[in-house]
Amino acid sequence: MAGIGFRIEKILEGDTYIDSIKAHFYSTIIFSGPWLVSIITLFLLNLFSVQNLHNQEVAYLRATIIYIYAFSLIIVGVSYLSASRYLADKLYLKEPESFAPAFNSLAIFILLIQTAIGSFCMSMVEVSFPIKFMSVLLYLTISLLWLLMIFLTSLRDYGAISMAFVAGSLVAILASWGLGNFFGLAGYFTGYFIGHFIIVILLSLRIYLEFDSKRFFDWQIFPFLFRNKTLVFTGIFYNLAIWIDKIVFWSTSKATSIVSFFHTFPEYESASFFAYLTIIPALSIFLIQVETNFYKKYRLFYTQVLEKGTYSAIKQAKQEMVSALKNNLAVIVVNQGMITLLCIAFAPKIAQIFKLDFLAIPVFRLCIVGAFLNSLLLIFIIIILYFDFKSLALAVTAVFLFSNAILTFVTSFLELPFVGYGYLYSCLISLAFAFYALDYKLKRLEYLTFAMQPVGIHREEEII
Amino acid sequence: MADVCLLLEGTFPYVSGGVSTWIYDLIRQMDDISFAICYLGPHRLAHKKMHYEIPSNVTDFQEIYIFDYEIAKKARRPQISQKDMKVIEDFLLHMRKNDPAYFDSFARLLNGKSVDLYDLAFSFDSWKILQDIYEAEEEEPSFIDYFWTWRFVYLPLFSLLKSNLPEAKLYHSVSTGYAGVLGALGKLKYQRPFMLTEHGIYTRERKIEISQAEWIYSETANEIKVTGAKDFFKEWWMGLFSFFSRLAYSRADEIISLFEGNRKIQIEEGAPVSKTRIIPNGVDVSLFRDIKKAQPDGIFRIGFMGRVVPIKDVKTFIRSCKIIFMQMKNIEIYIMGPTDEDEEYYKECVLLAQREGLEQAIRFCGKVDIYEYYPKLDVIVLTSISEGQPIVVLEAGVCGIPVVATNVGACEELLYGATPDDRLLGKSGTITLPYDPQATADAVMRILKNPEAHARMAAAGKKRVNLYYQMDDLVANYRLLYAKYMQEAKWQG
Repeated sequence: MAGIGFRIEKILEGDTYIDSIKAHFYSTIIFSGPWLVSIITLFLLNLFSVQNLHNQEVAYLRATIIYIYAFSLIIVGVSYLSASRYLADKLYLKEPESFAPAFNSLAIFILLIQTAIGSFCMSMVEVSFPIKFMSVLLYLTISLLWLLMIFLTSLRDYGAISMAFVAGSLVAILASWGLGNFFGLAGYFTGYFIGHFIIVILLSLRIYLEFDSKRFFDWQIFPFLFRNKTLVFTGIFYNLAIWIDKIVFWSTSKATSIVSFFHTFPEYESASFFAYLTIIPALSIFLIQVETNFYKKYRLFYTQVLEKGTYSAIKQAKQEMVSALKNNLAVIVVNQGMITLLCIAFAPKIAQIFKLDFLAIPVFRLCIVGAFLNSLLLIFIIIILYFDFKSLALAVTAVFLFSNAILTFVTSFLELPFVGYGYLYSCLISLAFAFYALDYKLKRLEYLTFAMQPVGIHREEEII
Repeated sequence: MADVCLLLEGTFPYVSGGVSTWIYDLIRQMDDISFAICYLGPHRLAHKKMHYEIPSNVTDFQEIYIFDYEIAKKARRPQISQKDMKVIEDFLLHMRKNDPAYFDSFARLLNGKSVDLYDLAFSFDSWKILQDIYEAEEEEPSFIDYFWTWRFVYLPLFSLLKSNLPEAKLYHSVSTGYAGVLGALGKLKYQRPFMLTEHGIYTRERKIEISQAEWIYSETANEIKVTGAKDFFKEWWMGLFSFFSRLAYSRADEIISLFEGNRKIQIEEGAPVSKTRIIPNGVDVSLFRDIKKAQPDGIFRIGFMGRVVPIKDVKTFIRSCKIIFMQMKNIEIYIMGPTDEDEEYYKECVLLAQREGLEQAIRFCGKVDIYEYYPKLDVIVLTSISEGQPIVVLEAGVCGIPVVATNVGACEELLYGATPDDRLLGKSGTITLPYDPQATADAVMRILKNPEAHARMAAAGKKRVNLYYQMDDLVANYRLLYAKYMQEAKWQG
């Protein structure tokens, strides 16, 4: 085939690569699934734990679990985009047997790092050893869980994933409560660990059964990560960006100290977590829209490029693709906009249901708007990656990370309702940047598609 | 500074053949003149070896590989200024119309520093130029093919114009094509005269190659035709070479061909009549003085002297041998010439010889010592599709060997005579049509079966070469021209 990039060839090659690339993007979204389950679990634990734990213990449990989620997501973010790209390539090369070895290698890597971080942090906290030990175990388990998600999204067996999560979460809640009755806080950690460990076991079994392999490790993945530093950093930056507002607040005087460096700022955290839940519709609509609408036009554009279309046909195909994209975005903005407006209107009601502190409602409303912009931002990042504008994706996530950190720091000097503005404006700035940058790139898409091709790929028939 | 800078495309010293030998002889015969050589080839090949030693009066030797250009990645963003874009666009638009008028400002721009290959390949500005020119085309071809052809056609040319030519008093190009472009560049850059000698007609030879590029895949192996249906991209390549010739003709101070037929074609292709002149090939007759004809032993030896490449149409020769072999078993056939230039074609020829049952009769000798082989031969055959003024015919004349040749290039006048006086000397061989194995076979057999005719042709050939095609005359002609142009200290363009 003509010397247009390997990647574009793969786009047209057939459905294997497409499926895996799509899975790669889905993984971004499907993360919101476990996230949803986690937040609900956390919420239920909050409800139950009041019955058999002291207030101080409830606060400690809650803070620890939030920290575990935050740092496991950030660290696993290293492999988040890059590893799924690696798997996509492996699927394209019809080597799915390297999935399990790649998972093992990455798991070893992640476990080593997380054991070091987890043990170090817990050694600083004045709690009993069983609690320390179970906290580290829980931290490792949750880390493995995120890693598994990357691998499982290529399988697209969402049924199995959901079943494992529901089953594991039920066990987590029941075991926590049950063991909590006898062993207090340590019991809660053990129960929570057992539930999540069951999820990890079920999901790893799924991988080992699906991708039988003779090898146990695949060290090739590390040079690959090294070569794809842009994707590695994009993954880290994005995950860090969505946590950095919380982290910044924890380090300011607004936060209350639970034990040593475990700080929390519940008025903001809860508002932020529950606001995330309101954007699930946007992400689902995007999935469906991409599948049925945008993707067809996307493929058509590259077909015109490769299958000897004239320049006007290529331009026409691009116009159609861009307007399909605009339509899709409009549908998302309108639908999610209505949901967001409803959520803002009924914020007190929702807060009541979820037992949010009454004071947090203005913050909650700001976070809902922020999350709405955040969902659009995430969609833009996915689209940017669709066109393989890797450095732009990195730039956008970097803008998001730094603006969120700086603006949050600024708002930490303001009164409570205003603390929500840091995240909101950060999302707005990053979204505006992503929008204009993508628009600029799409205007030059033909140029970027052709002229950026390396020189020197000689086509035999042309050499005379 | 060298006296003469020779611009050599695909010939001396890396490719052996008539033109290369001509160059080699010319350099050696003028040992009082210093030469700089600029060799142009498509790709650098590690195993490529020189077929000639480099004479001691060659003071500078440079190699340029047209398709091996490299684009250095820059940290900066590729871009071209508005002013430079205009220069590039004007040139390219006129180039597509076969008009070299805008070459000078373009060549100056490229040879300078403000635009480099990185900008030309990757900038958004060059992309806009490409778009403009695509839109100016008469039809709307497949864009991806247009894009890649653009790169294949233009990037080597751009890179060539960036090359650092050796400074010389005179630029002498031995073909149009890329070498001719360099001649025009040398003239422009150093304000020195530019001489052009064409053995074959570059444009015509490229046209045959381009049409053959398709013929390779076709089943009708017998015919080479320029296809009736226009192929946009083939037309583009042909247009490029046609443009190169037009550029060289418009910039050269002297346009030399070997014989009248080629001079006419040059004029058709745009050469101004006043600049054209003919200097025929020559052989050094003294070198053949000691050759003694081998004693007849009842076996007829047929020789094919030339590179085993498609343009020589070795396959037609092999087919004609089959026809001869069916009637005369007492023949031996020698195919003498390098086989490594187009190994694919060579393999096809060997296979064809086997299929025709000639493996016993035909020998592929590779490059040979001509003084060893000429004495053995009874007849020499040329089945070329295109020729200039083949030296082999002249050498055959000196050695008294009749020739059967296709009516391409100067073959007819070399065998039948160019002028009325020349024609009185009689025929020294037979002219046939290309792609006609039967006619070639018939002509060969007529000569072999008729010793009297053979003797008559041998005598006519000897006389003709001695009178009209002496190396000394050739060298004297070039010496005069070199002297004239080297001395033009202040050249007026």
